[in-house]
This record gives sequence, structure tokens and C-alpha cells, in this order.
Amino acid sequence: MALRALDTNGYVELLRGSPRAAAIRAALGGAGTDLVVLMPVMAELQQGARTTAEARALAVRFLDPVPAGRRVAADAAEWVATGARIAAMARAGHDREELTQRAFFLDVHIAQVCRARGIVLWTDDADHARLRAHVGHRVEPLPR
Amino acid sequence: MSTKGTMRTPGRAGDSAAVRRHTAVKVPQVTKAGRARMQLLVDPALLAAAGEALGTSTKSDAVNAALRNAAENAAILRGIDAAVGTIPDFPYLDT
Repeated sequence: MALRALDTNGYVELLRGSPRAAAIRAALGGAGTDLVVLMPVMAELQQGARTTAEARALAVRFLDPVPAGRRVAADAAEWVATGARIAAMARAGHDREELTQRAFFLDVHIAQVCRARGIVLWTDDADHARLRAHVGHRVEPLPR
Repeated sequence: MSTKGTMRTPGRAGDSAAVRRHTAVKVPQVTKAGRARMQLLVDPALLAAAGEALGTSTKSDAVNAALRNAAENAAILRGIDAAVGTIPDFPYLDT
């Protein structure tokens, strides 16, 4: 079975306790040992914390329980591939202003890492639907 | 087989065999890896399936890997459960 990871918007749905939170929680439980945590996603969540208490809570609940082997951080080749992918998209005529945005850069990076490791990304981020044509990573919508 | 130096422990109803405890030879109870020697009743078909799925080479490794996975998964899900609804206005920040 393929590894699976939740994108930032999925964690936000959990934090907000949205109507979809229960379905997302059930899917995470069903993934079992195939569930991995993307470190760029943890970085994006930390960026959203407005207080040190929120930042600490995010780390304690979403990261601390995750063993090292299931934390996914890019290796040297994947970092280089992220830059190469963005350059290729620029040469192909992709909107350069969008390519320079921090959030979009991280989306490309997440997509690149997921493709390299065969990780299925749960996300509702429309950017990933567009990025699939360039990166070829596997995306599924957040569970409902 | 000689039963000298052993002591039978009555089996519970439903157990296929009584457990025979050695009393003459003291075996190490905890290995250097922190594993304790103990006797468990295990479903052999499940053990074989777990060993194949987990890619372990020994029965002990299969049991320990399965236990580790179960404990890790439970910890991850406890963290998620504790987070649900705790920051209702968390910003998306263009994620």
C-alpha cells in the first residue's frame, strides 16, 4: 500500500473542528502504518500559530507523537529537484509571480517529495490539482 | 522427556496445553536489547502473516514490530484526537 500524508488544510480542518474533521480522523486511523507526516506541512502549521501556546500545542499534538521514521523531510536530491522543477515550470511559461510566492514554493516542494516517495497527498488545495500536470504526484481530496 | 527440574502450571480452560516452567535452570529475563523473555499464546497464522508483512526475520522481531506499530499509531491518533476543535479560528495562511 502507498504511504499517505495529510496536507496543511487537512490539519486546519481538524484544529477548527469542522464537519469534515471526523471523516479526516477516520481516514488517518484507517491508514495505519502507511500514515506519514510531512515536515513542510508542520512548518506551515507553525507559521499559522499566533501565540507560543498555539505553537507548542501544534507540536505536542501533531509532531511529538510521530516517530522519526514516519517524519518525512526532503533529502538533498529532493531539495535540488524542487528548485529544478520550479525552474522548469518557469521555462514552460508558468506565472513567475506565483512561483516566487512562499506558499506556492512549499506546495511544489511537498508535491516533489510526495512524488519521489510515492506518498498519496490528502488535500483540497487547488494548487496541487494544477501541480499534478507538472510534478505527477498522487493527490486525493480530503475525506468527507 | 524428563520432567525433572520443571513445574507444571495448570492451564486455563480453553488453553491447549499447560505451561511448563523451568525451575532448575535460571534463564536471563531481560536481554541487552531490553526484551524480556516470556511465554505468550500467539495465533501462528497471524504471526506468520505479520512477519511477512513487516519483513522481519524472527518471530520475536515480528511480535515486537507489530507491538511498536500499534503503540505508535495509537499515540499519533491520540494527539490528533486531542487537537480536534481546539483552535476553531486557526488561519489557513494560503495553504
